[in-house]
Amino acid sequence: MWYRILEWFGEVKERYSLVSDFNRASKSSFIQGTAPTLLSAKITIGSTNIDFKHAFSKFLASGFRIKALSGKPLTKSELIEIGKVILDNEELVRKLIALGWDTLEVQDIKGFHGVKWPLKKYAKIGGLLE
Amino acid sequence: MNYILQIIADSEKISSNGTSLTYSIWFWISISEFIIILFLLNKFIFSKFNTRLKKEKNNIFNKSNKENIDMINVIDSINQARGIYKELSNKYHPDRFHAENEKILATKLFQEIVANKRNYSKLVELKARAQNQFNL
Repeated sequence: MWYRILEWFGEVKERYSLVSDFNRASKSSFIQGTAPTLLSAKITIGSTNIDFKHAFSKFLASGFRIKALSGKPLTKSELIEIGKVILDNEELVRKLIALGWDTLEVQDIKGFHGVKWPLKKYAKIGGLLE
Repeated sequence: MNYILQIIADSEKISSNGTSLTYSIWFWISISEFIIILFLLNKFIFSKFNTRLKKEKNNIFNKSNKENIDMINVIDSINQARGIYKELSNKYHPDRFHAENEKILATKLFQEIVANKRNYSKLVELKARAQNQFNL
């Protein structure tokens, strides 16, 4: 019982540290001027689509959302490019899956325009999560 | 045994508030039995399923934990990888080289560039390697 409680708290800590690492790196590169857009990540409810779910999906906290805060509205291809960089990083995708995320969302700051992908399709772990 | 009989006899008495104590004792006994049954069900029936999931999770988690994720590289890849990829793919395209030896080297390099097209740190390494190899 105690093991489960400690494991749960450990996972929550790991999830929040990953999100804060991402935000810190994004902020520092924006301040240095290497990045024209400020990206911020946060945990969301995730997709309601059952096809996105996998064995480790967290209930009501399975979405990893990246919001692009730039001066101008981003085009769809720019949003897709941001998502593709995350999905091409296999270690990051595996870590996201292991920590209970199942949906990657990339959103613009203006309106509700965005794109989302099911993470399990990009994990390349041999269909274990199907 | 006498003690248990005494408890049951006491519980059948009506309390001063007018509520029956029988209800409360048997109610709590049934609740505790129900919790024990649920615990045993969880332990024995779902244990196989839980252990399989835990093993898979630990495998994936260990793999991802060994390779610490460089978030600065991820952010740089988002913002700068596209530019450096275009520059390298134009400059070191195999069709630009005529000598056989150079063409083979350029083909290998180009394949690596395409494979790491969204990895900024790897592209920077490849750029340095290409500059050494081709002196362009």
